[in-house]
Amino acid sequence: MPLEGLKGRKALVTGAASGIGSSIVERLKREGVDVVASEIPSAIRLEDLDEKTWSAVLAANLTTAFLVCREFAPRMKARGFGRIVNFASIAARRGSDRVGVHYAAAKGGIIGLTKTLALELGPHGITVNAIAPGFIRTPAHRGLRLGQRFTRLH
Amino acid sequence: MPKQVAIVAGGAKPDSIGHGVALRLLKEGMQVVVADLYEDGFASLPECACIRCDVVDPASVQRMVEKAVEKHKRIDVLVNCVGGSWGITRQDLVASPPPGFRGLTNCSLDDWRTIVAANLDSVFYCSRAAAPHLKKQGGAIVNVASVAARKGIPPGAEGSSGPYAVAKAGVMGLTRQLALELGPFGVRVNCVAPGVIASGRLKRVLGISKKDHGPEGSLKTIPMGRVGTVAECAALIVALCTDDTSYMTGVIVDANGASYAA
Repeated sequence: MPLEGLKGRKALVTGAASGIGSSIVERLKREGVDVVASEIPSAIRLEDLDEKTWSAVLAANLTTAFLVCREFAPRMKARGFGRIVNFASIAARRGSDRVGVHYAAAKGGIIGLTKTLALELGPHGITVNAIAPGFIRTPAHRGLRLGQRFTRLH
Repeated sequence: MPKQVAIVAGGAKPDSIGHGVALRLLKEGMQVVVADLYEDGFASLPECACIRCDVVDPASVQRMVEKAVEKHKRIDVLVNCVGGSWGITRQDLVASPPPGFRGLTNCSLDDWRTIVAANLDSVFYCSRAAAPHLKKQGGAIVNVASVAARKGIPPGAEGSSGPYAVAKAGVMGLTRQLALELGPFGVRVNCVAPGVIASGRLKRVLGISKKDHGPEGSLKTIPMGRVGTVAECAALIVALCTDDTSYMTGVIVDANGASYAA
């Protein structure tokens, strides 16, 4: 059954080159949404944690969300309608030994940003939510060496 | 493929969240059984199989589930919508809310038992009775809690009670536990925690108190600046019943206009 109220809306999906993002674009198109996909190159690699890596991971996972929200909130406010969906992670909810603290911290930041923005933008008819996926079968997870455990989960 | 079968516990009262859920499940193409004490509401659901059931009585719940299986041969979905601080027993089904706020320190022991039974025991009984049938082919349970469980209820909120907030927090714990137990069988268990919803119950509360707060706190504290609708709440609950959310389980989803971002 098609989702209600999506037809004719415009959506911006960042990070849509592959994985979950590209699946979101496909589904939104099926729902009749006009999608503008902007692609952020995924340059995040899990290495020994130096400051440079830390900053890069925070920039890619947290600062981008801040910048995009700041850019588009005024237009949503002007129309009195908006739906912002951010991506957090199970790593932020309960920690993970698979991704490193930089990623977990950035995704924790997404949760704080989401809650605070929900309060700030709610009066303008804008809802702000975050999805915290567990391990999802995407190309990005190949590097995590989930191996047998991943297979077993499914 | 045979039609999926859903049981909605607590859905006969017009303008209730459960009523909205039943209608929305029909729209999704499911066969819907509504279990409720409020027989006067059965006529408002002609396309559902309505069964009289007292969800605080385990034997009554067992009979209801057996009747549902006898009629439809399977159960895929259970939605537990029974709840509230008043209008929840045989005696006061359509009563008006008692005046004042019944907190944990000033409610009667009867208040405590009645409210906890209707809001928490009922979820346990219904889930336990339906579980063997859900496990056969997999399915989904959705429980309805409340923002009251997240932040408590400010003393003074007309029509609500302390035991209600406690019982709804219990529903959240039950949801997580049941998700672990039923996960291996492909049965997902989730919970929706609504904020202030424009149900028939809220209208009755506002009707008598003439104040700006509903059972879950002042409307002025809702950042979205409005109460939620039954349809919005039902849409979310039904989404958790369908395969659109097939990898979600053990989750509590808040729908409260940002009045509490959990």
